[in-house]
Amino acid sequence: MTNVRQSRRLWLWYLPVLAVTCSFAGPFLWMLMTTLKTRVDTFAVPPKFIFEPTVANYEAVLNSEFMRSLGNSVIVALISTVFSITLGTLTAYGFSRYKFRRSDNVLFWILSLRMLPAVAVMVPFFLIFTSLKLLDTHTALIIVYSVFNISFAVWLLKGFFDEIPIELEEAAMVDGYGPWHVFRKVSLPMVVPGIATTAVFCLIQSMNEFLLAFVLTTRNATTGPVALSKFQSAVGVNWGEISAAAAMLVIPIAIFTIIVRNQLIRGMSFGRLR
Amino acid sequence: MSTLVIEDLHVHYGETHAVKGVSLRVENGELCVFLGPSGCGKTSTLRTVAGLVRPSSGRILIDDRVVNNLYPGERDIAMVFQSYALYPHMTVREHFAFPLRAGKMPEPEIAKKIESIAELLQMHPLVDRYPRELSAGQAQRVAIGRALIRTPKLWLLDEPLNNLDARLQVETRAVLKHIQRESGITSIYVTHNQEEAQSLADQIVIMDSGLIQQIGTPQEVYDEPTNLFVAGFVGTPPMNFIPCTLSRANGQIVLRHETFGLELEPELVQRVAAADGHAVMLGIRPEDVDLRPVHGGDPASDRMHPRGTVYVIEPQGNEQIVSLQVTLDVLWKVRREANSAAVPLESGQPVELTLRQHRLRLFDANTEQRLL
Amino acid sequence: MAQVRLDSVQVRYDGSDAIRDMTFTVESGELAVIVGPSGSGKTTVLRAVTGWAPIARGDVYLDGRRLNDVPPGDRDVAMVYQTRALYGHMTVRQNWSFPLEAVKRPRAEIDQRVRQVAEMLEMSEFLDRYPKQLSGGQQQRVALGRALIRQPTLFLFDEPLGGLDAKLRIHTRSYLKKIHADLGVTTLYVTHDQIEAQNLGSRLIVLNHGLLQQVGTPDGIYNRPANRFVAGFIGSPPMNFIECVVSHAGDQVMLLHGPLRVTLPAEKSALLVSRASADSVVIGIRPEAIVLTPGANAQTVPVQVYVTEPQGSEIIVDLRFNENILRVRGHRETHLNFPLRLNDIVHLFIDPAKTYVFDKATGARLV
Repeated sequence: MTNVRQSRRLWLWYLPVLAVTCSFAGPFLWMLMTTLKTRVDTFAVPPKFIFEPTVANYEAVLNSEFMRSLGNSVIVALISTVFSITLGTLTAYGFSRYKFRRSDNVLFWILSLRMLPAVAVMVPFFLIFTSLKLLDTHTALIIVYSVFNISFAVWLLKGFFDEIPIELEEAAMVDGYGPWHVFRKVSLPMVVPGIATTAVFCLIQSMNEFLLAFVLTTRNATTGPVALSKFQSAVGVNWGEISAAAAMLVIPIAIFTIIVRNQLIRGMSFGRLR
Repeated sequence: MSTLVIEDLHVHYGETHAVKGVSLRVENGELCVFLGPSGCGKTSTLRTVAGLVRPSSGRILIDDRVVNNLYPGERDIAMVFQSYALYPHMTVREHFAFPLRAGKMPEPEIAKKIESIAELLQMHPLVDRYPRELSAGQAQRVAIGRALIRTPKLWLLDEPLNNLDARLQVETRAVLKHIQRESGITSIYVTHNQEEAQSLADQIVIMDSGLIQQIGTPQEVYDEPTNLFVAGFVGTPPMNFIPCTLSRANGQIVLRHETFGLELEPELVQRVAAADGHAVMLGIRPEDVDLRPVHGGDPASDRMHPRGTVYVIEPQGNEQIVSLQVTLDVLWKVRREANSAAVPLESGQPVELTLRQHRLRLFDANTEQRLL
Repeated sequence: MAQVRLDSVQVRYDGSDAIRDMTFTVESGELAVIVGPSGSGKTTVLRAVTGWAPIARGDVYLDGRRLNDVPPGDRDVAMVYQTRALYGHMTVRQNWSFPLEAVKRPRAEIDQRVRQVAEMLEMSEFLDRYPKQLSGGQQQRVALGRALIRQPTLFLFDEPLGGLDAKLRIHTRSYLKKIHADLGVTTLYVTHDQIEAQNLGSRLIVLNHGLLQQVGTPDGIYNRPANRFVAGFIGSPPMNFIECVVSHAGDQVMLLHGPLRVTLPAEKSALLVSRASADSVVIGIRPEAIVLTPGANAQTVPVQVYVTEPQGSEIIVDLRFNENILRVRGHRETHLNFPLRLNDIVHLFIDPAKTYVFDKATGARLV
């Protein structure tokens, strides 16, 4: 069998890769281009790849109400993620290391929360938060997002904890540390890649969430995706501004991902420990 | 200065009864090896001493103090794991410091101890490396160093040489024994490799199916095994066995088989306490058998010595291991020197076997206990 | 005639040589064992023969036929792996039928072959079991059977006994040797265990760092190693090496290290002088060739006991001599029947007749 790397027709292998990359990155790149186009250029037929860039769209967005929604999104996503990771890590460790009666069932119940369709719970949540007078607040969204994020975090992090050989913890115990210190000094440092990965996913999911945010907020606590839907006006959809707003919505995630990129690579390949 | 006493230890894993009443005593400074096939309960026993497994009943005493309810970290023990259990996120130096920091030792003292351990194990160039940058042998030394740095009461080792290749195993074995002797720390070593056990142990505890089969020095378990299991487990190539019937007549004992009738030497006769007609298992070690070619002839029932046909010859350094088909189901191995004095043999050749009787062992065919 | 011949074969992985200048011949019907430490290239040699490794240079011949461009499936070789690689969802019978069904042999022939192999391997009662219902040793035999059933021109074994416990290894080893003797199929067997290599092979091929070190019979390699690596690799405990300074006393050569003085007999001295001009060499002496005594005499040097290791009816004693650790092996009741405690001083004699001399730089054996 010929080794792929040594095949003389290597360039043929690149074609499918190119095709897939284009289909994923294409729409995103097009959107970025749209942010820099004038209204006229946006609707040009045939589509224009070369044009005079303008920052008018960004100026409009920066001066609008959208910035406030962006801020709300970031706050809600961050707090919810921090809260979920903290609780999720401890819970996941508990499920990974301690087996108690019916622990499998309890674990499954926690995981099943992630499977709740937003549509099914939006009305109950609305009613609950109305009676608690928490409609249109950050708190409501943080609570709701945490439900889904904790479930997801426990799911992912338990897998990461399971990968740590139990002997490492036994060695630390024999070395003289009690269970809490073993967790803090041995287990936790070893799941940092897992935590980074989980955090990125939680952030993305929180920033992208539309339906529940739409239902539970009106003016003050609207998040980015909801605000985006309000970009329609009497004269039609302002694609340039929407694109600019969407682009800006990506920035917080991009920043976080860049910060933790080293941890992510290890987390994605589920880290080969010696 | 520590002794270890285990009293009637039982360990259950759910339905499985892994350790069935183990009692033993390890003296101060002794290297005690738990030896047995996988699943015999040796690792479970070790882990109860470590505090990683809870016994169902029985007591563990370190220095005459019952430690059953103490955490591993409170027992003042150190352990070397089979997979070394190194922390991937710590350097070698941090590995050595880790156990000392648990006891809140001041930093300058920690640094001094790290120095002396690194010196002992010749690890100076490696102290700032991470586990993934070390070879198997080096990782092993880190595991050993981490265990030794505290001078604990007990040193526990769980098959630490398993993951090394054959040559490194042999070299590291000697180093381990020397370190243990010099430091004088009471140690328990678990292995399934009987060569390793013989090399290292002051005292060997042989286990099978959760029970102790024999406790003794390497020489004792090799020369005087208490039962068939121990006789067949210790020694390589393993002891040769063949079932016989013991026949007593006129103050003599003859071990009868279909193909031979071996007369026991007079001094040995009085040491055998078995009646006429008793079914026994004859055992003789490969190095205690001499062979010479024969040319058939006399009928089997008249033969005084067992015979066999050469099955396969395996050279080994300055010796040879000759495998012989003694009967259809019985295969014996004989060790002999491969020098010019050795008679050349070919596959299929019949040979006669002379057994050195003072090394011959007899076992009761039913109880498997040793009779001679 | 299924002769295997490698001619200057070189295989490269990731820009470096896994094996190079690999040249040897295995005669038809031989059991040749390729032995060396891990990373020495042994498995690479096997993969060059099966076709799973790209050959950068050189040729592989089987039965006179050049194999370089022949796809692996057409080479008529069968391989047995350490991991056994059995089909878990098939019974033993199905595992064995599979290779023959793949080449569309008639049903009757397949059934007969399965019966024959089952009888040969004493697995007739297990034909309808699944691999996970079998012990390690039995699984090993299934893997063996799957190779046997194809009646290939060449057998390749890649450390097949790795996962077995010590007793089973020894037993299966003799068994494999016997089966090979009965079948007479040319076999290449890879292992890192030099004891296994000596036991099994009629021809040993010793590798290190991707290069061929020596080819020969077990006896030949043990008693006449080509270089220091082979001398130290084959034999357990390994050969002892001591660096010595060469000094001349008339016709005879004396090799000195501290108080140690080994005076070579006349022919050996002459040989050494003709082959080397260096003033320092490395001498080698096997553990069973060293004589240890409790008391001193004119020819001994004092050494200190480092560790004693009982081994059945023998003892292995590790001794400290200057900065070297030397190993001596002897019978407990004859040679080494005196007390040997940690740090005791005892006396050591090295017989010049059994001493090997190696070139310090190249490692080649001089005498």
